[in-house]
Amino acid sequence: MRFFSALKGDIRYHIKYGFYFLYMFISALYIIGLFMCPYEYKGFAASIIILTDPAMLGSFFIGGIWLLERQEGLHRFWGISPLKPLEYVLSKAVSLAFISALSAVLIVAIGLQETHNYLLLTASVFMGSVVFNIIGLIIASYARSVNHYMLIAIPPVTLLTVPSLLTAFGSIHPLLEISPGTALWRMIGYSLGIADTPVLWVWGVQVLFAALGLYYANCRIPAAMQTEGNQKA
Amino acid sequence: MISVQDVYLKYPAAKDDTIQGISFTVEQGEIFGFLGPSGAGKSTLQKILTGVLRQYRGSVRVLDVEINTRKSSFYENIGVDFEFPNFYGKFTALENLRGFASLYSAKIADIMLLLEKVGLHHDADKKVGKYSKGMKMRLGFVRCLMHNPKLLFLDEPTSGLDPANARVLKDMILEEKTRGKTIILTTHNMHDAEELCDRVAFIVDGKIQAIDTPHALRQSGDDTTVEYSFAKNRQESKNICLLSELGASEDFRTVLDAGTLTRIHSKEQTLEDVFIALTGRSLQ
Ligand SMILES: Nc1ncnc2c1ncn2[C@@H]1O[C@H](COP(=O)(O)OP(=O)(O)O)[C@@H](O)[C@H]1O
Ligand SMILES: [Mg+2]
Repeated sequence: MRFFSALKGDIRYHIKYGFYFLYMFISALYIIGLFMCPYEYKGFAASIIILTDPAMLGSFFIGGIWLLERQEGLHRFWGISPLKPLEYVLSKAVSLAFISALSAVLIVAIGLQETHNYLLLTASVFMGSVVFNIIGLIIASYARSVNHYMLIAIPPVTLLTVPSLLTAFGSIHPLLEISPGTALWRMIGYSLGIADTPVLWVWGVQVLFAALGLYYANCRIPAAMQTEGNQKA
Repeated sequence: MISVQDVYLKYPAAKDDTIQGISFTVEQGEIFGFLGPSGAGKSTLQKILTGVLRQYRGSVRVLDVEINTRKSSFYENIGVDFEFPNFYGKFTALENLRGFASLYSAKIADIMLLLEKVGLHHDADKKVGKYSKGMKMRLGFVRCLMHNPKLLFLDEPTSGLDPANARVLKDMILEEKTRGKTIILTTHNMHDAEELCDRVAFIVDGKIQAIDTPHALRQSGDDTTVEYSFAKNRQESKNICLLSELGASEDFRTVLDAGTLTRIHSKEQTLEDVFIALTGRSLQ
């Protein structure tokens, strides 16, 4: 119950603070881009777009949200509210994953206009986005400012995107398969009909990273809120 | 309700302990105040009691749990009014309150009624970003009450409020007390402490220098004096003596019998006088 209240609050926040508008605007740009893309590359282009934007954008926005909430002093309230840290983290990650999945479906439905496995697409983008969002939130909790956040986010973001892009462009290496980014691309690619059936491993990687991320965030987020709690306004 | 034993706390960034060996207990239904100048450690102590600062040494038991082991559900019974307001600036007051209220499992009070009490009902649909500091302070007070908690922590609740709004807030605090709430209040305002608190702790440099009822504190130390004026040679003269010795005073008898007494008033110590006498510090 409390989790769903938090989720509702976060979604309302995204609407009010313009995140839905922003996502729809970005999606529209990509849809126009896909219209102009030659037919034979459309599927591949869409998979890269969805991988790097709807799915990964959230991990960037979640950091912005964290820093904004911190600036408004709200972490001090979370520190004395009945909302559990895990509920807080999940609510933040899941609410943004909704927009990601929605925007991925729109891009495919309008930009590609073919029947695809929408269920798998939605599930993949949602799951992948949750993983990235949790990682983004953890990084943001170490940031001193927006600029600092951008700086410290570079190494992890590189580590997440490069393997998936290498895989998308045809590289094959067992190490690449450990990355949740690669796992996500395989799922998106398959749901768009341009990649092989993903093996169970791919889901395993996502679940593993989600679990590790949640475990870490569950300790890290309250600790970060606490150190802020003793700062003056 | 609350039992604090020999508590010390050092901020990671600080050289020395900010809280230096504090002990006290608070009973159910009591309004317990911390009176001290800015920087004394009142907010720090409040943050220890609410489980925000958990690296203290010593023992802090609140509602029968050692506070550094509290669970999230502990906060269902706690209301905290912060020294500095914190709300979503782009949400209206009502949206903010409803959102926060939805996180509690208790039955939520009538939010509009509470807003009306603090005079914010006409601004309920205004974005909090457009609120003044005083309005945010009142909104923060409403937020800490709406889930009907057993225990309230108010950090300088009247600071930055005009006298009329401060009056309203103080009446609401006293009303909460009549409903059986236990209230911890920090302030650097001796009038608030005296009017609201059943007991007051004087706090300076992270230490408690005295704990007692405001009345007992004011009785302590110097005795009350009486100052009286009388006409003498077409001029007004003044005399001062102890209240306890007034009846036996020959001088006073004389002017009283002569009917030349023009004015009389007793000079009691204020709480701040006692504070200065006991701690060597003023409250400002
Ligand atoms: N996060 C912090 N790190 C280091 N010192 C702090 C921190 N917060 C407060 N202090 C210091 O602790 C002392 C007590 O502060 P505070 O509890 O806010 O006092 P009060 O509420 O009585 O005005 C002050 O000297 C203040 O500068
Ligand atoms: Mg303070």
